[in-house]
Amino acid sequence: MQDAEERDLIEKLKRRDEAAFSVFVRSFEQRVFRLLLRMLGDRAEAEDLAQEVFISIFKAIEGFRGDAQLSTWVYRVAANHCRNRIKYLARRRRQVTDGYDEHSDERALSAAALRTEGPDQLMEARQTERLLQEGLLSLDEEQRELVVLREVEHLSYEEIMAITGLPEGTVKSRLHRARAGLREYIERHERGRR
Amino acid sequence: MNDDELRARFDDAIDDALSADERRAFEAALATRPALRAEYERHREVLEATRALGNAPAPVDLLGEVQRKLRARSGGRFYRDRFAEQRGRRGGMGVMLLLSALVVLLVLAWFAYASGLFTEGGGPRRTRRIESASSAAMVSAWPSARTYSARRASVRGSSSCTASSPHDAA
Repeated sequence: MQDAEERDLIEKLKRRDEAAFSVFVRSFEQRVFRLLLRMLGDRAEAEDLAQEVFISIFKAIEGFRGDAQLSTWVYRVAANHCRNRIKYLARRRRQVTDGYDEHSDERALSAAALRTEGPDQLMEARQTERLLQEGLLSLDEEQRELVVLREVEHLSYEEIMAITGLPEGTVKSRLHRARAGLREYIERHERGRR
Repeated sequence: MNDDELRARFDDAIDDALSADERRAFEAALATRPALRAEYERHREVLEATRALGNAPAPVDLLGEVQRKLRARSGGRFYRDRFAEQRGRRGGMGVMLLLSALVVLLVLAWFAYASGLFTEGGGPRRTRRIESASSAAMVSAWPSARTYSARRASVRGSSSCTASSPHDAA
């Protein structure tokens, strides 16, 4: 169910109200960008795709029937775009991991760095984050999407089911395998470093 | 509860989806199996670290880029750049002023020409006179030119030749 404020925003968006659309982009840009960045592992691709997601929402908002929350619909549009982009990149025979530039995440890493004490911890935080991103990219696309929605976006199972269209049992079993796969990837690489 | 059954409960334990009784049984089973306890702790740590990946900030100008693309793709129908349009109008006025000034100057020049300022006793003729006068002055000032003029005069004037320059004398 939508609250009155959200209904009002949707009505304005359907009237192509530019000021309302700017407010909408500002309130969803972090969520959309995070999802795309963690799914693609490439900051430039994520930036470009985030713009395309908002443009397609601007064009297609009339098709939003209001039977789900606006955030769920936005995540669904972003996830669809993301799947298409991954296929497109695969067609171009470009491994998404090739685009994962260790310097492209400087701002993301600096956010983690704010919580660290010194250069050693900062270095460690960067290495951990890089390893986790690589671990995410090692998962197949469906598993990665579930991990990102659940762990990075902190969504409930109900929201994930609404976004992916999967039943609860499938979401839980795939997520369980994805989490185990991620842990195994991290452990394998940490053993390799020692 | 065997090891695999315990592993299957890792996610429920992390998601806090176990009942109080299930949680107690889970903790009791892990307490007797240190290897599984370590595996569970590792699982939890990895997921906690994954949650920290949510700190990536969006680009500062994402909205601006979206607006720019919408403006371009809609042919200016949406997100018209009113500031640039105003600036454009101001720029257009400057060009108009410059063109007006140029037209006024051309009209003034045409009036001046039509009133004979340059043709009657003035501009071009006077300039020609000055040019011929200066040419004559140059000719008279130049020594070899003076000699040449004198020789021509003597050839025309008389048959007896008079030396009028050191060259002729020689």
